[in-house]
Amino acid sequence: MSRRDDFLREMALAEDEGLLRGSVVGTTKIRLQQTLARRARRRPTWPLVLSVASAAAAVVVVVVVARRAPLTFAVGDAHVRGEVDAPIVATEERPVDLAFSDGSLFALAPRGRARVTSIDSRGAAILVERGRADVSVVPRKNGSWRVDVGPFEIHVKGTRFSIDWDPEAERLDFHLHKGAVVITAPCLEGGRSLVAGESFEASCRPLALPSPPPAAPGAPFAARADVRPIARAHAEAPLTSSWRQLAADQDYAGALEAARRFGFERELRLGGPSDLLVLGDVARLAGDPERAVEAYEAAHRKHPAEDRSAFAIGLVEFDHWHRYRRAADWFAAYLGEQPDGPLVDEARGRLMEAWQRAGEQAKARAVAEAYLTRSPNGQYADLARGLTQ
Amino acid sequence: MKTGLAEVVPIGARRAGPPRFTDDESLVYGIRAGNQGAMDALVDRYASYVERVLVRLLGFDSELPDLVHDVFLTALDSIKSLRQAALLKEWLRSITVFVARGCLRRRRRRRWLIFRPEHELPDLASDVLPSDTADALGRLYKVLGRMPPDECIVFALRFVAELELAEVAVACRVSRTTVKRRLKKAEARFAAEASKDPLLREWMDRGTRWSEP
Repeated sequence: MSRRDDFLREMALAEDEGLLRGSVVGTTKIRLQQTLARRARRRPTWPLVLSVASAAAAVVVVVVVARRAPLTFAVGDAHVRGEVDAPIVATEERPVDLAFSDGSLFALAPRGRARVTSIDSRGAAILVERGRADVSVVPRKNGSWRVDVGPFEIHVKGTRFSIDWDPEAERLDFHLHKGAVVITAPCLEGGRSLVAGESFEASCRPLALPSPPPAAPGAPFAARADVRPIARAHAEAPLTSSWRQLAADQDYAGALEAARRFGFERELRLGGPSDLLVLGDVARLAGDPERAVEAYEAAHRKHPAEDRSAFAIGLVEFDHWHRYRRAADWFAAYLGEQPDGPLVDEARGRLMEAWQRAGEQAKARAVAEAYLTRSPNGQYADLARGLTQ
Repeated sequence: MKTGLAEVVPIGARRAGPPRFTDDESLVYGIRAGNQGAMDALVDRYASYVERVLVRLLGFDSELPDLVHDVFLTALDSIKSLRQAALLKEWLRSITVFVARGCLRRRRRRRWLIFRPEHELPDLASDVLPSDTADALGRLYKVLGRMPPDECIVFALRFVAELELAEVAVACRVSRTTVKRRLKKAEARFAAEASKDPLLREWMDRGTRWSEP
């Protein structure tokens, strides 16, 4: 090391000493909060003429375009513009409100978690992953709103209701205050229509008890009736928790079965990228490569430049189907999408091996050289050296 | 040779417990959702780091509190552009570099416009460090401040912050080749500029801790 470098290193150590004695970050948080609050209070002060002209133009735009313009929504007290598919998480202390541009409101109670999965000019679809929510939808002609809760789909026109979803117990508690809704689910034959004042408590999970008193098909819906029609439809199925819990317990076959029962396609449609990746892992490790690739591809479509979906598809092509050229394409895609990703070494090693197995020695050698430059002691280093010699 | 994906990314690990901004992913989602607690957590978690990077780039600068504030304000404004939440720290470092470069450029322009000899040297160091150490740091950043901002930044990141070349490239959002080219120029310029300061030259020639007798 040169004397210059020695000196600079000593300077850096001195800086660390200085920072220990006199950091300036103590006021950062308060200053930042003040700045953000000032911004929120600030309002543009347009000249009157411009305001009038803008208002007139806005009216024209509203009349002409409003019917086609998709709704928007703002999240939380700060009214941050919401994004489709971004998780909305309420902390233990505070609820989170979603205010839609048509006046509809979705209030997520503390500890709840939800996502807006789609939005257009007629309404939105909201997935409640956990917890309680109070929903108030403004009635509109051609309005179309849907709230997805576990296996249940609540189709809404204009109404006000509360839901409480316990994903561990797979249990929905629904209270309709105003209007009318239709609730559908794989375990609810023909769905259920509810009117104002009715409540609905249901689970599509198989009953633990061997002989539950089944509800009569088509029986009138009593307030807070405990409806468990799945007990008849899947009486032979074992008692299972949700597929996520089973996956966490490494029971991949059970998790895949639960996901199928829950509605695999529906999960593909509504699941977030991280859920889809886990679902793909579940299917792959349960020995169902087709389902695995379906889930990984869904994740890749939703967030092509994020996460490891391309790498995971490459794994399936390589390990299960031995289609090495396709595998190589996917590993290369991962490396292109995430040049600094956590699986780069593994992907490069697999890419090298895939080209080698596909009989593309020149390509395998080129990758091997790149691999040795980056990871001379990596787990594929022996193979790489063999290819470059 | 083959590694199961489950070993690489444990299944179910992402869903363990309610999110409390314990990891960067939940933190980023919280900020995007407008959660004040997440914004506070971001500052709590990374303010010291941002401050350290700024000190490496600019020394104990009198504008340090403002620059730390600017880094976080920029980060909150552009959080949507962060594509991988797991790279939050690297992303913040990149913003810090951007803010520091803006500061250096602003001073450079000011120097040309109003013929001000140089930016007043930072005096914060003398508040917290022995005078000879503060003097050494002051002289070092005086030399760095005379260098073109892009060269100053790659030099400081590489040799003071001791980042790897690839990390410097990511932080500056340029290629490694560009970093190498700038470094080469910066090293020559630093050597020339530092040699004009007899005390600095003496400290570097000594090659030992400057505060030793």
